[in-house]
Amino acid sequence: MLPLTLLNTSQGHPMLVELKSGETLNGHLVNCDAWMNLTLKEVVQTNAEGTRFFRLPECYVRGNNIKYLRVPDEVLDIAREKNQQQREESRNNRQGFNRNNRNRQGGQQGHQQGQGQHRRRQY
Amino acid sequence: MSALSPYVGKTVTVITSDGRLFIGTLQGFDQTTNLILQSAKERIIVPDNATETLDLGLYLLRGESVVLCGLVDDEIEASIDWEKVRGMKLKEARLPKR
Repeated sequence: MLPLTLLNTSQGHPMLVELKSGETLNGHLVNCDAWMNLTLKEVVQTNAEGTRFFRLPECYVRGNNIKYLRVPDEVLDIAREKNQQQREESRNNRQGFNRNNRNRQGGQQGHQQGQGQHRRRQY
Repeated sequence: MSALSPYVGKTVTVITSDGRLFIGTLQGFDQTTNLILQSAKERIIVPDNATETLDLGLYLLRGESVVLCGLVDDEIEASIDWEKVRGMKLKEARLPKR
């Protein structure tokens, strides 16, 4: 499983983020992106020595500053289930597509249809 | 170009750029060496005291901080009494000074 997939699945869950500076941020993950930039809410920020604490209602972390993230164990299971569900869904979709085009003549027609479908999905 | 795929699902030991040692089950990785470590533990090995092991749970390690990721032989690992192990503290990884 891809690490960023795991991260996306953990949206809404509490987590601990340790930055390269050694500071830690404890909070709930609101959103994340492909660069590991995060938005967290209800955050407790602790300095590297563990002596000072700050409470932030919301915070944005630029991904390149992250050392690691600690995530609740159940998120891995949730991510696996999602992966399986997505695989089943795409299998069902593909089966439907093949069934529709099996009797049509001309490979080109089928091919164009495929491209059309693909473009539609992107929107 | 070799990837970490043969290690997925196995026990690995990871050293990070700040000189920490982790051990856990590798669940996933990507091109930038971001790692998913399940049931991660940190081993703190020092010259004078017993080795401490901290249980950490599910860990997402950013690739930038990964120095090495090595395959662990589970049999040998189980036979080691970690409390007895002593060793030098790992240094931080630093770029060479110009």
